[in-house]
Amino acid sequence: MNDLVEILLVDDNPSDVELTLYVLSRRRLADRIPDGIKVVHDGAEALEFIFCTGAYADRDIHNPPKMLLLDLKLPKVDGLEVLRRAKADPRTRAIPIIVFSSSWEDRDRRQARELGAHSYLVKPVDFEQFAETVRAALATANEAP
Amino acid sequence: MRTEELQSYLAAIVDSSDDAIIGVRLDGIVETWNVAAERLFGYPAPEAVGRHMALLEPPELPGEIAGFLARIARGDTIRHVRTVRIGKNGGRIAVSVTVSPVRDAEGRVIGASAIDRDIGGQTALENALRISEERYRSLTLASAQIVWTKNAEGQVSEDWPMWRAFTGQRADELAGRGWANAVHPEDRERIFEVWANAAKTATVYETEYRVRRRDGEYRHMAVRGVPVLEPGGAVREWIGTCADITGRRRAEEEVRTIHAELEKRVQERTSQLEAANHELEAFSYSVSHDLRAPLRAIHGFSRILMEEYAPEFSGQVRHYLEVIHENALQMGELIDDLLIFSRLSRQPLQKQAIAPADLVAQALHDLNQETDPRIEVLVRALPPCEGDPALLKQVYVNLLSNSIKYTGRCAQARIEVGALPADGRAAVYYVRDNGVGFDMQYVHKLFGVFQRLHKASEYPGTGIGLAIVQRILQRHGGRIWAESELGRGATFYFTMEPEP
Repeated sequence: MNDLVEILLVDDNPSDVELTLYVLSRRRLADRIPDGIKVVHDGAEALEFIFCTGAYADRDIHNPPKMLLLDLKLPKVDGLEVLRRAKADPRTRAIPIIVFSSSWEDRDRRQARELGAHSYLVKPVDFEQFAETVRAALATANEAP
Repeated sequence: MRTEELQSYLAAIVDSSDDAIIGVRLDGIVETWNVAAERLFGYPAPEAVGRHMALLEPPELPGEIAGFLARIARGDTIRHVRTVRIGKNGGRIAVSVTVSPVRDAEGRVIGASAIDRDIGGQTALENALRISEERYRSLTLASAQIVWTKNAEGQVSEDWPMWRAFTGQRADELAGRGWANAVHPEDRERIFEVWANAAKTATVYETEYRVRRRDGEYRHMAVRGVPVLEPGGAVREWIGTCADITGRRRAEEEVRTIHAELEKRVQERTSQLEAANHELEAFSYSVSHDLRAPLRAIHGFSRILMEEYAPEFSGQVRHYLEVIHENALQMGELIDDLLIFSRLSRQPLQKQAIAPADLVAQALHDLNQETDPRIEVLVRALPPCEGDPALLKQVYVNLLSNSIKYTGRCAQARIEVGALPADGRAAVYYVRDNGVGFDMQYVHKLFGVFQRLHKASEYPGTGIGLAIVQRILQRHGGRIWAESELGRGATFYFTMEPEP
């Protein structure tokens, strides 16, 4: 049972997922993520995963992922809604969430910030900048009690 | 009473009379002339006595007095004849004349006594009354309105010829409140209320009602009634007018309809525009998400290839990968610029007072050109203006970056930022450089989207910078134009505000 997921990557674009996984592995971030990365492809599955419901009902809610990498434009439930629900629940509020979107609309950026996103990255991001942001978010997560 | 006493008694009576009393012989010679005659005609008694009465005759009535005397000689009496006399000062005097014969002891007529009563004041009053009546009648006729009168009880007491002409009612149909049968039934009750209220306070009233014209059509009338008051303040009668305002009413109605239609059309257009804007927004949102996803893959995976497998590739393969990578980057920039451009049309302007010199300083800072020794930037005095500071800064960023780019091959680049001397009109600003310039025959292409006048290999760029500049200035009501000579630099002139 892969219960100790460190990063939940929510993205429906397979190319983007592959690129993200490439950067995470090549920039030595994978060493720090022993329990690996869980990839889900839509917002509904992301919610089930973090709230341990549906297909993930047997997960332990007290052992949430260390961080979310969240695309905005997602099937079923969109990224901003996932962000809103995660931040509204005390059990998941502390998880740092990096919004990782192809949209540079001010509206999305502003909403993500207002909803409590850790940071907002526009795809395609520079590999180095992306790795740096993930490291910073993980550091935040580790400081949290 | 003795004869002497009697005579002086009579003389006193004559002298105390307010009427001129003149004794005259049958041949017309004045014998006596009392005080009132002196007063009325201006001649003192000594001047008048002994002269002929014709002295007082107006030129248009020659022989009138002689005629009177002839009748007196026959024993007639002349009573209250209105005529005119001329006074000493030449003024005309209206008089009422009564002449009686004076007889001797045997009863023969030996003279006449004339009593002339001044009726000037009375005539003036009568004239005034007559003139006033004439004017009232003329006014009634001159007016396009129907004039009417009612008694204090609000009932018709005189004929209303104009009302009858309009409505076709007969005179006997008007009596009492009969006239109101020509008023629209829905309006009748109300108008009597309006009148009753005005009657209570004896004040002017105004109202509107519909009256059936003789052809059967109801016409809108504007009605005004004025109470004519007795000295004590009670209403003696009412005088009023009705004006046919149907035409005005229809015109007003038409204006209202047209206005409502216009409003509706504006609303339709606005919602169409809003829908179009909404679509455009959805489109650019979709572009920014979906169009860039495949690009990311091309860009990302070509980079992975280079990072991971470069040592295994020949120089040729590495070159092809570079080309793929660069083109993906270029396409990303094109999409970004196009989105910026389309957003410029939708974004509301945040106008405020602006010092253009600050915008230039910020632009140069953004462009990292403050300290480049190759480039000399000269900023002259720039008059203040009004506009969206972020957008107008973008104007300077784009123009300056163009100048920097196209002076790239100059040993010593000179860029001048300034404004033409304003002569009361909108300020004309300019950015001038000594770079490669352009051929004026292509000037019309300069501000088009994705139009380039230079090879991308020499001067890179997406070709949208000047289109953005033009769009920003147009949104401010300003404009841009350029002058250049190939190889001798270019000058871009622009205004940031509407020109009067």
